[in-house]
Amino acid sequence: MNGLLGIFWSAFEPRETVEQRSMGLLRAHLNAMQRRQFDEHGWFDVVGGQSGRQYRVHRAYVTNVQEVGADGACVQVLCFSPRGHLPLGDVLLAQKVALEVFERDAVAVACRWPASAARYTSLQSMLRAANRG
Amino acid sequence: MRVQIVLDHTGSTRHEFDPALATAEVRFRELSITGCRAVARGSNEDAGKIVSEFGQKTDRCCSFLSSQQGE
Repeated sequence: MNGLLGIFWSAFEPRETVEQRSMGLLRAHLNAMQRRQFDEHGWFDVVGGQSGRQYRVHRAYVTNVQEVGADGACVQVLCFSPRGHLPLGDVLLAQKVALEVFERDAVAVACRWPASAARYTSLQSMLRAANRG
Repeated sequence: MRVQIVLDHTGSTRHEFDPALATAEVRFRELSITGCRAVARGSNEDAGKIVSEFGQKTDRCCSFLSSQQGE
């Protein structure tokens, strides 16, 4: 009887949301430095697997990937994403893996914007950070 | 633990396949047909590599639909 009641009441317990699950998976695939960057700034850096270029992946769905120079300044903004309707953590993970493993293919399909578009990405990140707080 | 992770609308679906390699292979082929790319990753922090065939050596595999141009 207690077992049945336990199952019944467990249906009302708070569960991990889709977004939380996807963020958990993303974090499991970030290294320590990337996790720290993501927690502190809302972005993490990825090194392109084929060119060695540095990319900054921001916590947003669109226009959220920046190619950055050695000084950390944005060179250009890239917009690409995995097909399908995925939660944010999955989108960021897919972008990270794509840049690390098949960078040329990912960059080839990406929509590119001048560095000035980075202000839009930064604004998105700030808004998200404000919403989290 | 050998695991196949599929990124999907639920966040992700994990399939542990130690005793069920054949099932995992079938799932891998089905996902490949739909356009999914699979990347095998080791336990360390290496970038991983694209998997074109699923087999005994695959430990940790992450599948998702290939990239498209953003909006």
